[in-house]
Amino acid sequence: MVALLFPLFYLGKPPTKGSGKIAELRSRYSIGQADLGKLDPASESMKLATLGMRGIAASILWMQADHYKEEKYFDRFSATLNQIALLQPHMISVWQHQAHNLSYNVSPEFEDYRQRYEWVKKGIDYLVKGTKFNARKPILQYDLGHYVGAKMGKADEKLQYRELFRNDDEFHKYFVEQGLNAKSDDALGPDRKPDNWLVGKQWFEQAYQLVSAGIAIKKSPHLLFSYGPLWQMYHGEAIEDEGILDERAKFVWEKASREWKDFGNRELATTGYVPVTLRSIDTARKDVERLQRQFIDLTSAGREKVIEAKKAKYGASNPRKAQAFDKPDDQRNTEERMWAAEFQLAVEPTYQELANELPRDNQIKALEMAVQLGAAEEYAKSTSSLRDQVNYAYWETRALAEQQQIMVDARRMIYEANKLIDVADIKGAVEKYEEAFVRWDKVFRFYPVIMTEDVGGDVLKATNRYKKLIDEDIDERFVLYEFMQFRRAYDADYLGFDIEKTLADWNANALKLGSPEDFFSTPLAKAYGIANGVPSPSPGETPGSNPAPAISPKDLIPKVQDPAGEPKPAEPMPAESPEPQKAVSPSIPNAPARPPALENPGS
Amino acid sequence: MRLNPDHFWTYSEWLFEKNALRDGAILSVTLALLGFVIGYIVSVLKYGPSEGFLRVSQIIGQLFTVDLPKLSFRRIYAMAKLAVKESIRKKILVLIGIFIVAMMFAGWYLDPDADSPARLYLVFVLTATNYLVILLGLFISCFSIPADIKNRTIYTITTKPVRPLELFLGRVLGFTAIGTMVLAIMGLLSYVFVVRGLDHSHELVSIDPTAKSGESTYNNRHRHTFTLNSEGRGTTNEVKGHRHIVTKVGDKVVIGSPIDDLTARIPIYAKGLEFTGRDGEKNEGYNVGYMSEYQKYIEGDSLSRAVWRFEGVRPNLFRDVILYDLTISAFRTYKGDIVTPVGGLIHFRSTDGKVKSEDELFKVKEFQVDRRSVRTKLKGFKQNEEGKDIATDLDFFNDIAANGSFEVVVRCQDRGQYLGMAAADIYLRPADLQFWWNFVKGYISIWLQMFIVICFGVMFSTFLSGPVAIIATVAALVLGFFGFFVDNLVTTTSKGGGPIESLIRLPTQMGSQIEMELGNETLQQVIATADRGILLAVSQLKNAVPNFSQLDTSNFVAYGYNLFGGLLARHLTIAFGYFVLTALVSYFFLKTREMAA
Repeated sequence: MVALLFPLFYLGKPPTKGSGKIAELRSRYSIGQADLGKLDPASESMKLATLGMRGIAASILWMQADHYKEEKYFDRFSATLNQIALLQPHMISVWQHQAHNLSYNVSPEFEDYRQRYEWVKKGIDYLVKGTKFNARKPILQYDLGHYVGAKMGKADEKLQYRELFRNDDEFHKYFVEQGLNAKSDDALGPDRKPDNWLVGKQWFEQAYQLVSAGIAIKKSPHLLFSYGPLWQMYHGEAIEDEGILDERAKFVWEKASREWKDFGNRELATTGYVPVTLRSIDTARKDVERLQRQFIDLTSAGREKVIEAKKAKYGASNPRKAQAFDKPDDQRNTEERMWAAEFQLAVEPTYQELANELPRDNQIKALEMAVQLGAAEEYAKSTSSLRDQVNYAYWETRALAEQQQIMVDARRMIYEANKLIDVADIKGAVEKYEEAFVRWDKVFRFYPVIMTEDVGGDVLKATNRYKKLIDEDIDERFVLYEFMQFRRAYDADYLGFDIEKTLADWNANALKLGSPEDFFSTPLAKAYGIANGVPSPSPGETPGSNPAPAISPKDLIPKVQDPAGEPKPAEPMPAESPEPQKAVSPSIPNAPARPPALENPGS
Repeated sequence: MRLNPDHFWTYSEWLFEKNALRDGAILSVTLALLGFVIGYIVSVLKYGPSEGFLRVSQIIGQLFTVDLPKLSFRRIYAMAKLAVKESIRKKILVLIGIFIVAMMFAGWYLDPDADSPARLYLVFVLTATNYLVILLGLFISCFSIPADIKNRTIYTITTKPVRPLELFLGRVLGFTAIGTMVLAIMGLLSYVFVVRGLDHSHELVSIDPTAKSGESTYNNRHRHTFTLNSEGRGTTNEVKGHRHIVTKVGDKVVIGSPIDDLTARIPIYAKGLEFTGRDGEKNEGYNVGYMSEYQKYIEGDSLSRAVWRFEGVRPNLFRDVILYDLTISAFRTYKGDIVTPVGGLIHFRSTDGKVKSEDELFKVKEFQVDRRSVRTKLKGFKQNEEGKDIATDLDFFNDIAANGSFEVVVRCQDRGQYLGMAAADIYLRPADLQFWWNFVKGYISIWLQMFIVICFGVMFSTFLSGPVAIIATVAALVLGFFGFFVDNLVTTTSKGGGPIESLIRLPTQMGSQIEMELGNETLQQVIATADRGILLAVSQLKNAVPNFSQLDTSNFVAYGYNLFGGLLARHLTIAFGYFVLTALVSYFFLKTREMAA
């Protein structure tokens, strides 16, 4: 025992007495109690009370918690979790796992949505407590961002949860007490009450601050930093779903657009050596093209020679593949086509091989260029891959489109139409839908990519409701016919429908259209009654009292027939019938004939 | 609260029909025989076969001829007094201080956001008291006689003369007296702690004069809403397991103290629960996939239903209204209407099914007690001779429950959704008991556990040294609390094997869910057989010690249900049985110690 005292003395010396080994290590890795988070007397006394058997006690409590959950003693379950957390306050997975249990597993057990909300809050509260004990673990703030934002904002009960959250003043105060200013302007929604998406965003921002201070987090940077601006966009989407369809919604999207742009300009670490910025994709691709051109210019002379040499070498060891490659394509069977493709790939010269073929004087230059080209290609590939993972282009376009008055109007009209269905005003609803569809058509032509995700899905649902209301089939004369075809193919993944190509064609046409402002000033836009100056209803205005936008079907007839200078859609439309009576006509009693405005003006 | 079928047995049912008396007798006879055999073997080793037999017979004979008839209560009292003094000298009362400190810090660990704080408070005080008092019983009982033997004071005592049985009884009663005193003080402190901890008040925030509905201030992490009747009286909604009475006095609205959180309902439970499936045929209720099978489910908008059969319900328990509570749960197969809870229909009918009340709609209030009532004069249907239901006015106790027997039928209203229920999820509630009395009953249960521990401790201390007696008593306690785990191991419900297998698994870090692989099948067989032998022996031993987890009645108090008199009587009987048993074993050992001396 005496002998053991010497190493104990060496290891255990306190920092004030010339720093022992343990104190030194603790300081170096910042794992001292005070570095980890708050020192809680309840936690410390509980740890002491277990007389060194903390692990056993925690395991027993964990089993007990499982038992309580299985038997639905949820109050005791929650109390036991608190005890586990006090015993093991620095074990992050305890906080994460059990918070998830509370918010996602226990809450659905309750029949009353208000009770469910309380249990979601319990999970959030659990995580908040975790942040206090673990000041250097931004993953908890990250989780809080998800719980407060997505759990409350994406659940089936999102309308109820969001409403409860907005009015949960005590919960907001609790957040403020815990160091998150949930009552600041940044967190307030259009009704000047804290919005769950924006408060969730604040938690992400707390996580970002910690990460920026150099604290590690086990999350890919591009995903981590995308959530802040995404939550802003989800906030925009949520308030629009709830009927805020005016300047306030545009403002939210404008802010989201800026934040998305900032995110696109942020340097993001990747698995490669060089960090990337998502908005540099065009530059990156241009760089690749430029370098490729230069390299081809430099090495084109020797290219054929290299290919021939490789053909000879590869062909000697793979004669059947070489034969398949030499055959004309129409004479190859399936297997031979595969071999031919493999052969083609195998004989394609690498940059290195092409550089090696050059005379010695040019070789170094070409090798340097090959390295540059490889790096540029890698950069462009990484950037493109990360962009795809966060769906960067979609959200960029969406945030732009959502700021446009035409899209806000289009959304508002669908919202109003849905409300009119609730009060059984079928005629009014049909009219509103028709007004909305004309606008959606324009929105999709300018911003085709937004047909692909939720927005397109919502509009498709609206067209289905419209179809049921008019009780007739919709044919190619319908203004959103092309969109519907596209969207159905997109949802069902039709093999015969080239989604990528269609989207590319629409995008090409959108480019020709220029900016939406150009369109709003066209005669056609005026004919539709669509312009930037279209008055929006004041906040709180009921759908019934809202004056219909200035679309008069009768006025439109001659003008639609003469859309001089109007860009054509990618796919040619069938010739339009000049007789409005032959348009899809609703079978609603006393309803006017379906306005030609609903027919594709571009056709 | 979860109630098992055995909770519903009456005392006589338990004693005779469920064979408690028979099992007790078998246990006593087995232990007596075992004691005789062991005693005889020991005597044979010491004195030879004939003298050994004579001595053992003498001891048994003396019990009935001398020691029992000549028991002196004066000497027992003196011994008890000595035990009390001895305990006080050992500073046993420090335990009360520990308890006070535990309660001071309890607030740190009690979740203020709990759905039912009363439940948490009560479970805490009852559990803390239970453990502390058991520890008290353990320590004071195990060291006393060994200390007397060590200090040789036992010679002074036994030469007074004090009979062995008097020595045991005196010690047990003395320690029980001191334990009772400590328990009483703890009970009082706990009661004050719970009542004060839960007491709170709300002020009025706003009231809508036309609708007479209003909202309270936010206190103790909750707020209430309420609606007043035309007389200006009402109750708030139930939040965190309690309500408040609201009265309008002049222009002022007064929100009273909390009610319903500290309560003791006197439930009348049904004698049976039966289910029918979606085809109307009897089944055992549906299992919706939960691990717990406590509740079974009925399917919505089908012929599936749950039928509770009540018997012997006396009309004089109810006046104009029959109060009953529902604690039914719901299971959704689809989200459906998020705002509206799943609904059900309930009616009361005669046991022959010819008279029934109108269906009443209810919406599930999950994890809450849904307080409901039905008038004794009610609308319903009577079958005529052709078997057709004729709408008519009914009197509950004349038409539906003519002899006190009737049925309650529950259906689920929503198609594709399910309602879950167990036998205890509907009960009639004729009255409530005073909470404090139920609280006292809960403490009587704790007292019984302490008493049994003292009996065991004193018994073990008659033939073991202090520390060993503690280990033996703790072993009995562990078996009493966790005996079910041994059964699970024997039936292999719990994986991981017996003690030897565990000893191998632990250092080799072999998880309990994987098969043990030692690379030697014979060795594995030997280990498995040895383990099985040990486990079976422990399992048999478990049957000889009281099931402490069954004696725990804290849930009754915490969940606000009257602790049935029958259940308490059962526990008293069990305690008395063990008292007699340990007294006899102690007598035998003290007698043999005399022989040794």
